[in-house]
Amino acid sequence: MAIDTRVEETLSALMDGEAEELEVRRVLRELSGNSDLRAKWQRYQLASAAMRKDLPKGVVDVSARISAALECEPALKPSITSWFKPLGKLAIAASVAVVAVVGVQHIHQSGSGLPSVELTSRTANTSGNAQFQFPAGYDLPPVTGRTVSAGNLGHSQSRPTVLVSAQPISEVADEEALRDYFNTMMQRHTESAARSSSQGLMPFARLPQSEGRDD
Amino acid sequence: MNNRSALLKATTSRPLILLLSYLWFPVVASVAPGLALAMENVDQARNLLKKMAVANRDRDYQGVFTYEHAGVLKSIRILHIVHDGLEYEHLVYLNGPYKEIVRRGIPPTCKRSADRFLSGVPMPSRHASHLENHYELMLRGEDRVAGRTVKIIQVMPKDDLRYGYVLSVDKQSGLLLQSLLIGTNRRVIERFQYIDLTLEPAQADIDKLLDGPKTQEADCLPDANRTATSWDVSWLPPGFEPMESHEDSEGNVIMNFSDGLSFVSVFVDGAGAIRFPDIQAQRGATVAQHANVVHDGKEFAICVVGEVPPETAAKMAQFVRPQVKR
Repeated sequence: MAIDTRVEETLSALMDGEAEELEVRRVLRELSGNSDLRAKWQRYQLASAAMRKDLPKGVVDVSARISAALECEPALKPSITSWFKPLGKLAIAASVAVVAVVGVQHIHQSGSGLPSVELTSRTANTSGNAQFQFPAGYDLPPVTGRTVSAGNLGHSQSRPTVLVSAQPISEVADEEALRDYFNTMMQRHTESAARSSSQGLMPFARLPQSEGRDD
Repeated sequence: MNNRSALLKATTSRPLILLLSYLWFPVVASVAPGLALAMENVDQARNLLKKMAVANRDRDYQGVFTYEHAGVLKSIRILHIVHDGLEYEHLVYLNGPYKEIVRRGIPPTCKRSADRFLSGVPMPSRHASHLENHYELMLRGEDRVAGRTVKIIQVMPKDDLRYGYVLSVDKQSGLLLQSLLIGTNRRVIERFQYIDLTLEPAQADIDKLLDGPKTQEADCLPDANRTATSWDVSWLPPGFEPMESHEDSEGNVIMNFSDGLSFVSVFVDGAGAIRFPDIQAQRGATVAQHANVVHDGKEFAICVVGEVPPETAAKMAQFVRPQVKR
């Protein structure tokens, strides 16, 4: 059962073009012997094609031939470039870490008093919301996996921040004034959004009322 | 199935190809009804959204709902009634310092812009746009919220420029009883949820709400409320349309945009003097992007605020431009 789920996840990832090479091989191996899985894959493809209004006139299965071709392919010889590759990755990882550290510093700096507005990065914000998980039973079907694939879980954790001030916030602006400014802007936005929202009066709940800053 | 894959390898002979196409016919035929079902499912979801857009205006209801984001939980008591064709609303915040919002005697012509969107009324815009161009709608079965049976609509964005929603709509009344805002990575960013709801508000509360001065809100028609502004946003996420816009005598501009579910406000402050660097702030699902622009030797502060991914707000802020004079 557990293996099935994993293979199905890989199948979804493959649909999104996000599967790792090893996973692709595994799924192909599994596909050759598992008719249920093969039928599922074909259903995914058809559903996806239908959504793109691109239904094929006929269906051709080439997975067996791809597997065969992969087996015949000579293994790649290690070359000098393979030395640089991990280094490059390391460099990217390091730069991401630097950005993350900068972001985290900002939270600490803005942590004085009641943080009704978080002056944070995307990195910090997503991890701050980690306690919110998708409720059970609301899971998404594979066909909509394109936008919310299980494969990219955790991407934004390492994604650089959209905007981090080059200097600490306290050096470029009065933090308290900045927070008040954003609070006012968000309040004005909420009021106009609630007036025209299809969710009735619910957006009014977003007003920063509990901080007691507004009248 | 093994036979079939053996056949697939020998695709050179024509009779075999013919045979193959017959072999596949049952597969395609068995998928086709599934697709028809999916279409029906989308139709139902669309109709339910229309019903929802009308219900929150037309129905009498009273209850308590909660709002939750980033570990903060607030609860709000709500009363909404329709009397002589006019709407009356009363919101009381149940946490923190006392606060209430009262709106009395709102005329039916004062239709919320998003309701027009969801109910299929064409927007006063450059292009006709539909929710389904940018979201995938899907009915996800039934559940129970506030002790009532709801139908769940999943509304997932087709791009990264907006958030998704899971909306639970009361089966009987069409009222929205739960709304989850889904960010990237399928994380729930914020949640509205009724914990108690009745469609028959207490008479004493109704009487109290009806007794009071009417709210001045004559200018609530989106068409009437769109005045020409000297600023514009030259890039909007696809499907976003101008809603309301206003400019005061001091050159302060407010413009609202929506794709029917997500809202963005753009503020241009003509007061001058750059107070802050370009910076972004977040609270719950709301993101605010501040930017400074110099135009005609004058400094302007721009702020883009909305329930959209930070990237969307940041990009919009880059495209807030003075209108070209004609």
